Amino acid sequence: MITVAIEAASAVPVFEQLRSQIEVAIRTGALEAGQSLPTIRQLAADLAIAPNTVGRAYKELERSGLIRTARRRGTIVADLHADPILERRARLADAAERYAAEASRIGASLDEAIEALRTRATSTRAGPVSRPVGLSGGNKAASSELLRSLPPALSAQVAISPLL
Amino acid sequence: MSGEFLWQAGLVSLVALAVLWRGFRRPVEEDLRRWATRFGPVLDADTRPLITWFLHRGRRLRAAGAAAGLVVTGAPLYVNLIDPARSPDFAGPLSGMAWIIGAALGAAVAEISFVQRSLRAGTAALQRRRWDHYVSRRPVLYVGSVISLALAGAMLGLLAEVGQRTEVLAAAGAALAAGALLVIGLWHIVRRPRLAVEERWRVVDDALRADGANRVVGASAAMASAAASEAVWQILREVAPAAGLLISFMLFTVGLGLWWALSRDVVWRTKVEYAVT
Repeated sequence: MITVAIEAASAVPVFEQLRSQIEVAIRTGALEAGQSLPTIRQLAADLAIAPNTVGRAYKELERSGLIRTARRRGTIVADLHADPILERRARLADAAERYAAEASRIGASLDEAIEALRTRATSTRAGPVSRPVGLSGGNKAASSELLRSLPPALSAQVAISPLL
Repeated sequence: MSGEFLWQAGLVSLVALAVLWRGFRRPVEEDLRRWATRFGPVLDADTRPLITWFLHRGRRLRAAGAAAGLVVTGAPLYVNLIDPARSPDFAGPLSGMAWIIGAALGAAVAEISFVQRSLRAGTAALQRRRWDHYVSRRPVLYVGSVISLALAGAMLGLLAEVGQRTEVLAAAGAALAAGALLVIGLWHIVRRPRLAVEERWRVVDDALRADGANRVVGASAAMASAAASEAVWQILREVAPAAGLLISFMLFTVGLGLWWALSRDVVWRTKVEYAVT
């Protein structure tokens, strides 16, 4: 039987003790892919700790991709060697489910939710702002001088770099 | 004072006292051995006191419930002792089955009020518990079916204005109570903390849960069957009294039989595959 033990006197936070022990059990294969983990309430009751503490450990493990929440089976161990495409789809579906639930909870319409997602995805993909680069024939000081001579609206959009 | 009523009331009181006497009796060695054979734990110097206490406690609560139910069942007789002119029919619907309801509630209270504390604080198994680890799905399916039958019968009776309204409503109420007893009882049995993760205590823990789950399912089966029996009788009493009586009797008997079997005879080994590190 795979067990976890919590030391109340330890300096390590309880949620971290729990998270690290479950992670070891998953990475060593003691807990197999697809195996159900106890519910948050059950584990909290058995360990006599707050459900929030178990919830935090589970959230961290989920963020690391070690466990995932399946609709009917509760929290299960994720397949670390799964087909990456299928795994990506499953995680995307889970994330979409959470997003849809949150959007519904705050009363956003489907169009609003999609638009917000599109805006967010565009800004995330764009990464840091890239600016067109102009090459100047002079040295660094001459390039800076050239940049200063440009109209402010233009100088904010381009970068001038010395050719040599 | 009517001699007939005195005799009947005396008999009901005697049965209630006998139930109490038997229920409050401490489990003897034979009871413990039988229970260990049914559910699998090892009886030793450590486990024996806990198991004895658990069995005795559950037995006392169930007996108290049954005795209270018997007193309610006998209430018309007691009232007739004081007022012989009064018809015994004044009692409410299902009052004749109050002893079943009382004992079923006693079984539920025994489980729901059982506060189990972990013997080894800070340890837990990474094993999810489910109700079907502790009791067969079949009797639970039966309970669901008879509750549906009782509710469908009650609805039909109310809509078609067949049978006596109060009896039909009482049957629906008893069916809903049986469902609540089942759900709350099993939920509590699964949810309460594990005794300890060591193999010996793990088996005791599973056995206590399995015993409780079987008793709760048995009690709700009896209660739901009594409700369905009443509902069916109310529907058929005017159109097909013979068939109604037969079906009603069969439902009632099957419910009681199932209760008896689950509480006293069923042998169960918890169906959890514990992975080993």
